[in-house]
Amino acid sequence: MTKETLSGSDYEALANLRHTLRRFMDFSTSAAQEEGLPSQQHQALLAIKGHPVDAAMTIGLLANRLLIAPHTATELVGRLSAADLVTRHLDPQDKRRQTLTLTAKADAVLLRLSAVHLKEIREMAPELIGILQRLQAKIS
Amino acid sequence: MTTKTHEDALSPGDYEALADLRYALRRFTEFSNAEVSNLGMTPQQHQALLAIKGLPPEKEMTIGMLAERLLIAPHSATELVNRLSDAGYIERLSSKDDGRRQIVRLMDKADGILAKLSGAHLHEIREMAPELMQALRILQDRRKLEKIAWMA
Repeated sequence: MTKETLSGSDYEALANLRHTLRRFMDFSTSAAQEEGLPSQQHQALLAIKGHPVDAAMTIGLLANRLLIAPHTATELVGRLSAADLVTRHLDPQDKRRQTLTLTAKADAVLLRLSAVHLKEIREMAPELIGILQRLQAKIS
Repeated sequence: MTTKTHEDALSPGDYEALADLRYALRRFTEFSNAEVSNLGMTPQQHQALLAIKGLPPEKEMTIGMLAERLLIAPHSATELVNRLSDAGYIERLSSKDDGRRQIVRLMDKADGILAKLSGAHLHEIREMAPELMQALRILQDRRKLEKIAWMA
């Protein structure tokens, strides 16, 4: 790959990308707060809910998805369990492992949060896709 | 009020796409923070320099605009500009159009660091883009599909 020089409009696209992402993160943090959830707890519930149905979510996998240390994930799950949002079960296939399931309470919170996020994402998507395409365009 | 059930129902595929989207964004943020701290800057300082650099050529960056672009309070933007100015990344000067207005401009040191950082970021964005666009399209298409079902 040859080293390319970035043009003024490359920088503009990069700055716009980050501005769009900041607005989204800001929106998301406020929306989660309104439901009484710190951002990381919301992301943990979403990661569990969005995990493919045929695969069990474990604390190790959750740590991977959230990019946090395993002991941080253990603490996080402890708080979610205390708040009646997540239940832990022994994995029938491997008794040394615990799998994580959302409670009905978590499902309801997540449904409300995801509906408002979906709306926000749809508003942001055309702009975001446009910027990404613009930044990809120079590859060929 | 429109019927709520129609709007509220999310499929497992929606949740998966939402989770994938956030995972991709987390990885990107993590990558960016690591690159930036390797060069001895904070993510916010980097974002301030990028916001100034990414301004269309005919525009001038004021502290108020910088606060808006970074979604921070005006006094936080003032402090940020002070630190960047002390570190020799930016300079403050009066606007040519309106002498009472203070604007900020990048210095050569900032241009050098941005060129380095932005090349790496561009590469990472291109790696992430297909996954991100796929998640966005899944979340957008659902509306189209719904509309068709709604009208049928």
